[in-house]
Amino acid sequence: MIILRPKVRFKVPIEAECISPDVFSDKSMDEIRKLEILYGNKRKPLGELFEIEEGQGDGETIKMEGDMSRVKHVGAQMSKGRIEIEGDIGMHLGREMSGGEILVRGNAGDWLGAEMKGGLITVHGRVGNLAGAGYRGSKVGMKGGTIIVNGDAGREVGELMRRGVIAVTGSLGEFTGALMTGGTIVCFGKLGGRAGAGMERGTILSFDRPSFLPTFKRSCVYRPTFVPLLLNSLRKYGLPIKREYLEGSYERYDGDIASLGRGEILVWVGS
Amino acid sequence: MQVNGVEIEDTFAEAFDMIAAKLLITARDEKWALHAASTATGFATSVIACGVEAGIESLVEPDRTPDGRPGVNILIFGMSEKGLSDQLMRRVGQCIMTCPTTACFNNLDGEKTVKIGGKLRFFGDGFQLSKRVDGRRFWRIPVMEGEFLVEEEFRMRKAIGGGNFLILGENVDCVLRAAERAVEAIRGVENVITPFPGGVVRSGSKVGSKYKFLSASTNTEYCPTLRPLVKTRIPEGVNSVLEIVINGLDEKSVSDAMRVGIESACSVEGIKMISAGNYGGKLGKYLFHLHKILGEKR
Repeated sequence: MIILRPKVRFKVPIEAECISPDVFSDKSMDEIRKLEILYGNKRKPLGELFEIEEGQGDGETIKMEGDMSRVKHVGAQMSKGRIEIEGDIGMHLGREMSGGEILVRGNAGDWLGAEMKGGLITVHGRVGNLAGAGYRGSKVGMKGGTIIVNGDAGREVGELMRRGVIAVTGSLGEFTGALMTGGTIVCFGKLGGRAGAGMERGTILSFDRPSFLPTFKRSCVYRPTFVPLLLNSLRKYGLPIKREYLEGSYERYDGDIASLGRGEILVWVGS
Repeated sequence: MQVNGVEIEDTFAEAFDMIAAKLLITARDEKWALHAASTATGFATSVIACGVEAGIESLVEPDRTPDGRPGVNILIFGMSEKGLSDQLMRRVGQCIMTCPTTACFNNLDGEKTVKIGGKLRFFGDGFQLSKRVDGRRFWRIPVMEGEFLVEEEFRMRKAIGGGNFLILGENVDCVLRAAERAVEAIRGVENVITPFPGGVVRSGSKVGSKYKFLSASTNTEYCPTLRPLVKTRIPEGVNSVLEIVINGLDEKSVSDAMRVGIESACSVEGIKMISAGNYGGKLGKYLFHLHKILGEKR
């Protein structure tokens, strides 16, 4: 295990794409300290800004401790290993990752897991906007993997999402699942307005009644077998899944009919 | 060798290679899961005329199914990958999808795959939805009752068909009672089925016939009515014979099922002998010697 702690309180954004098990795995401690990061507009070696030490445990685990709310792109494109973060972390955490696991005990910035393809991100804290979304100009957002948020998340979560699961125990901001073409977003708290705007396919599952865009049409109340299947698979993440959610009925709204209209918002209506 | 005073003939059951799939059917309650399972495994006693051999393997508690509802495991055995794939499509499509509230999951690790949900999805006429959960792909097909959930792919693996034993007794009553006890005991063994009605066969067959157009005909050696007319294997005092056929996913499962089945059958008064059906070792590569199977525990 490699442990990183900030040497100072960062005043400018840091771009640290190199903090990834893929990059660290074949390098010595000296080589890791010499990896370049962007501190504002200046290139600096990682070891100048972080205390780096070798701890006990799995060789493909990176542990980060402290306030890293200005540190961006950690775990970008990672495909294996594990990153544990104790403290707040900045934007683009785990962007485009395809495997491995990231665990955050703190808050995470915008673009968490943007365009990720696989792996697991768990955040015990608040998450910013556009988690699992597609970058501006991209046609597709998250293509696989799982994002678990034990807390609230911001706006436009899962925008342009095609596959994968995002589950949030707290509230979600406006435009959740906008322009989705697949995948599933589960909201255990309050779902923000304009959810599913422009969605073609995909599922938004809510346990609280949201306000709907007029381009979502109620179809029926039923028991989709897929829901208990999904919720049972999410139990391992410690989410607040009640028995009533597994056995209950769901009201289905089809939309967005201003787009392809094959998406759905499922709202739990009780047992 | 004797078990509970019943003679165990020194012979063997001859079994052969098959290919199998294991499906888990869930539904709102056990009743509807069993309706689907019974229908999907219907008319599937022998590959000779049914295409596959199938049966209910076990009931599954809700806390052990992927969707948390009561489930039933069924096993379906075919002679070829193609034949089994074809029958799976027909049976899932016509017997499980049609049954209210059901869902259908693959429940086997196997080397071969066959697309079932991936083809049945077209029944959704473009309104079907795909979902991936824990790396497995499912299809949600809209139906009048609500939605049919079916897994994209099912696995198939090499298996064994034709494990068997014969129960010889004083009369049909005691032989049938012994067969029922044997089947009940075999239900407790994982990964096996007894595909015939109630798990019991009364019309065991031999290879060939006096008629050229028939590949199999009645097992004359064990027909009590033909005793004076043919070379018989029925001892004095025996007036009825029933067969238990066992298909399983591996040799151990078949062997275990034969052992518990024979032991249970031997507990019934009036049973005179336990034998087995074989073809002189020419048909299949698996030989289940009765003495060896029963000796494993002793």
